[in-house]
Amino acid sequence: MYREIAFKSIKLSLMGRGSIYTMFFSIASLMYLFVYRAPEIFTSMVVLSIIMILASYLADKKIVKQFVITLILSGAKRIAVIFCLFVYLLVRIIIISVSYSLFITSFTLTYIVMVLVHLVNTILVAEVIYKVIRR
Amino acid sequence: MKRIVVIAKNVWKYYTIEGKNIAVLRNINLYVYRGEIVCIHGPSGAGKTTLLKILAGLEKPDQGEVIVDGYNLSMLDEDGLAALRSNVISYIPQDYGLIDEFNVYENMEIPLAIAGLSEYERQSRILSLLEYMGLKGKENTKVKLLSGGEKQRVAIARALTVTPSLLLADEPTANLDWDNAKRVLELMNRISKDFETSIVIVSHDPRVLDFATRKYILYDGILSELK
Repeated sequence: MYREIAFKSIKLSLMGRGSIYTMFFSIASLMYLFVYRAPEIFTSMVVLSIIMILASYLADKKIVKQFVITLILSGAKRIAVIFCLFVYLLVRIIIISVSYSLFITSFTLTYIVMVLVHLVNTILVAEVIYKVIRR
Repeated sequence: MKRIVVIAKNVWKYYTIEGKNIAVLRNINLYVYRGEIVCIHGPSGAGKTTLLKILAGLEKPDQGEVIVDGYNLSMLDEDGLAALRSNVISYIPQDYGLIDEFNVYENMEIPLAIAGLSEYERQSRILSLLEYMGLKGKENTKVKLLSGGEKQRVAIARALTVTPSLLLADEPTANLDWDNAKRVLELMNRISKDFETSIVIVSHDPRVLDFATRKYILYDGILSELK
């Protein structure tokens, strides 16, 4: 069950207009990171990427809402809906992470912590979106 | 003797508006038999959608209880209600509740995937239902390209995929011209006979009452049966 609805979430994430904005952001990040090569730029781009994820969700708010309502009406449990939203946001994060992965040559503890923070943040955002739509 | 699918007993629902508790549903008593169509008519803001959402387990009543197919909704937690929506209750919202960017097949596949059916079972059920609804050949059409009448029929088809005991339709004819509305209502009539599904329709359109087995009026939160 989770596999099928996860595939639908991935498709929805890639089909949405927000994914194009995310791709543009990823390309812009890559250019900044390689031109300036400074840790401050890296950190600020990571922070901006969190805002970008939210902005890309807002661009697809209508279809995400339709998807969540469909899941709720079809009998998906709360955890399944949050999982779908997480997968939807994760696809966008992966698009953005491409530029960071090209920039980072070795993984330090700071980078690993950043990735974990990003993942926890995504779960929290998924839960908030679920609560807002459920209301 | 016919089996009762829905029992709503002494249901009250309040909303807090500007610090005041306002009763939107007052002591609602309703029962629905298996395979019948019950129509609840009332003006906008009378509490029709709230009542329908309570019957679907999407909202909780402040007082009273709702029993659907033997399950007391107030005794179930969120996951229990979700499980009930997956195989007992289907709810069609006023805006159809379909995903515009997906095609008809993908929209209908979601409840079946949640119910855990295999790909073969999903395919055969979807195709047979589309044929039944007169939508054969539309499975690969994106929902946003369908007409209002077709969207409504897809929404009904999706609701029927899990063969529910209770189908709840919120203003199913509100966005349709009368010819399409009549077609949808005749289809619901056929569904109630063929699948023995109990259907509850709420509508502000009085013409919908002609298609119902039993008729109710909801006005200012009070439900009364029309004899």
